[in-house]
This record gives sequence, structure tokens and C-alpha cells, in this order.
Amino acid sequence: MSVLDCVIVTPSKKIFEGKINYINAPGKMGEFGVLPGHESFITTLDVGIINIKTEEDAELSYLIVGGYFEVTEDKIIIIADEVYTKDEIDTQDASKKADEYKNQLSSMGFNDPDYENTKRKFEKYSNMLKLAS
Amino acid sequence: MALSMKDIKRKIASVKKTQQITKAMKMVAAAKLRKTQEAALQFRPYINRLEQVITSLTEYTSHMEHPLLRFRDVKTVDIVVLTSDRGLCGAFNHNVLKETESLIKNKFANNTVNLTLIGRFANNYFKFRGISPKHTYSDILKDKAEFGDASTIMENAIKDFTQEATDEVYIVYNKFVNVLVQKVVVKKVLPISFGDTVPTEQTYDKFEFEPDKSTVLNELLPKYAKISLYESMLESLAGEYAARMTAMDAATSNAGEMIKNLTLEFNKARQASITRELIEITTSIEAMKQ
Repeated sequence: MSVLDCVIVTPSKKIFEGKINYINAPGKMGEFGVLPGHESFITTLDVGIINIKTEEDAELSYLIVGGYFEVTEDKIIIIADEVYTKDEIDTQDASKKADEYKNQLSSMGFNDPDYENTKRKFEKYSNMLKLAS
Repeated sequence: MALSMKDIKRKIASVKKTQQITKAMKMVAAAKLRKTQEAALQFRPYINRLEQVITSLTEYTSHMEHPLLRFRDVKTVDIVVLTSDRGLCGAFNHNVLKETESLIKNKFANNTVNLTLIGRFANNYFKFRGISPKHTYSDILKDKAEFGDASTIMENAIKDFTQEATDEVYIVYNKFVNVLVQKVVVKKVLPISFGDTVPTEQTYDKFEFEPDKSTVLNELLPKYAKISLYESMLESLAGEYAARMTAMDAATSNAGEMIKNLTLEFNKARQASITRELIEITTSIEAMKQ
């Protein structure tokens, strides 16, 4: 069975490089999955969790905060703004911040200029909790 | 004998103190170099991938499709000059300034050139030359480069470019090659183009964009321009510390050489005075014998 070549990079380091069987990522227009033989396509990424099944059937998960996704001829390039692994997450801190931003969000209107920004932050921390659990 | 023994001794002490300072500065630069170098090197895979993506993207995109890709007749150019805030780093700043001067004089002799200066050295130099810059920034490149700064600087440039106030934007900076070598690089950031790349076989007709092509371009191209400046800042910072370390290393060994020479001179002077005293004693004994 053919496999996908996958690279995940962030400004501070290379997170992952290797052969994988399956990847699941949060696109701006909703979550999507890619298997080998996928049509070439490009999208921007939202805040969310990336799940990878490697060639050796190991499952990896990363929290990704915004970025870019490209697949061409079974080669995947993910250029992310921020990536967190499970070990990097401080659960207590994340839950505190998630609550904080949630409260801020509930007091904001949809038209607030900071609404999108705060929502992104809330999603970042709530996804952190999801990844850590 | 030009100097007395006391003078030489004082001179040796002073050179020793200078040597201590240069040695300490070398250590500090070495410690900072390690951090900045790591940041610059770890950033390289990211920028390489991004460039790869943009290259393949722009190859199948008409330059009219996005304002940041659009090239036109060049009348005004913006040059972003990256220098350090502090000196004592050899020819580091000088090389960048020289390159900028030659760009203004030769390549852009028929164009209006606007300068954006980063670092105190560039500011002082162009103030002295009587050229007033468009924007100046100093004290932003200290121990690490902030993406926020790069972003603000580039946003100004992007705004001017889209409003057609400038037709091209360049960055002049020192690229960190290794600890001993920093290369001055002139990089064109806007319009975004990779003219010298060989087209690959992939065609974007079969590519699918989600949500659509313009959204992807809108997100990616301004980001690339900013990342491009940020990369230059990282490279320049690593280069600065490398240059300072080499310069201070050279200064330390020069001071050592100087101390060696002065010690030799001191010993000669001491020997001369001993010989003189002996001659005086023996001549006086001879005189008393008669």
C-alpha cells in the first residue's frame, strides 16, 4: 500500500517528518482527512487537533494553531504558526485560560473587533485540554 | 630606549585590562551566538518549505491575480537596511552600508530610493550622509528577533506597495553562513516572485483550493513577506554575534601579542639598567685603584 510523505514545520522547529498512512486536520471549512492517492489540494488551517497514523501504525496528535496545508502526489506539507505536543501542555494553566477567554467571549458581541481573536484563543486552550485528556 | 621601565609596566597593565574586557565580550557574544544561531538555523526548514510552496503556487498564478505578485515599471524602490545597534563587530555594519550605497549609486541610479533603516548604525550613517529615511527603527534587535516587529515593518511596506507608492521592496542584510563568514545579501521581497526557478511538472489546474484560491493567496502572501523579513532579522542577529565574537577574538589575541612585545621591551630595559649599574660600579672601582 502506498503511503504519504508528511512534513510539519513551525517557525521554531521541525515537528514531524516521515511516512504516514492517514492524516486528519482542521481546515478553515471544517475537518478533513487525507489518505494516500488524495487529489492535489491546498487549504488554510484553523485551530484544532491533527491526528496522524504513521506507517508503523503509531498514532500521533498535535495541537495546531493556524497554518497552511498542501497535498500533492502523496506529499503533504503543513506550515503551521504554532504547534503543541501533548507533553508541552500545562493542563491547569490551559483550563484557567480557557475559562478566562470563555467568560470574555460571553460578554462580547459578535461585532466586537476582538471577537475573532478571543475566540481563537479560547479554541486554542480548550483544544489543549482536549489533547491532554 | 624610549620608555622607562615604569612606563612600560603601566602600559602592560593597561593592555592586560583591555584584553580582559575583549575576552569577556567574546564570551558574551559566544553565548548569545549559540542562541541566535540556533534560532536562525531552526527557522531554515520552515522558510524553505514556505518558499517551495509559494514557488509552486506562483508558477501557476498570473501576476495579476494578487496585488503582492503584481510587477510594474520600477520608479520607486524601498530598501530595508538591517544593521546592529551596537558596534565592535568588525566590518559587519560597514559591509551592509557599502552594499546599500552601491545599490543606490548603480542599480537604482535612475529610481527614487526610500530607505527603511533598522539598527542604530544605519540611522547614524545615513543621518551623517544627509539622506533622510522613510522609517527608522532601533533597539528592536537585541537578544532575539520578534516576529511582531518584522510584521509591523513589513505591513508599512505592503501598504505602500499595494497603493503603488513603491514598485519594489528589497532587504539588505548579513546572512549567517558560519561563525567566520557573514555574507551580505540583497533580497527582493515585493513583488513576490521566483523568476529563476525551473518549472516543475505539477500543474495547478488539477489543484483544488479550499475555500478558494484568493483566500489562500491572501493568507499566504502577506505572511510570506513578513516571514521573509523575520528570517533576515534572525540571520542578521546571528551574524552580528558571530562577527562580534570573531572581532573580539582577534582583539584578544592582538592584545596578547602586544603584551608579549611589551614584556620583551621591559626585560630589555631591565637588562640595560643592570648592565649600566655594573659598568658604573666597575669604573668607579677602577678609578679608586689609581
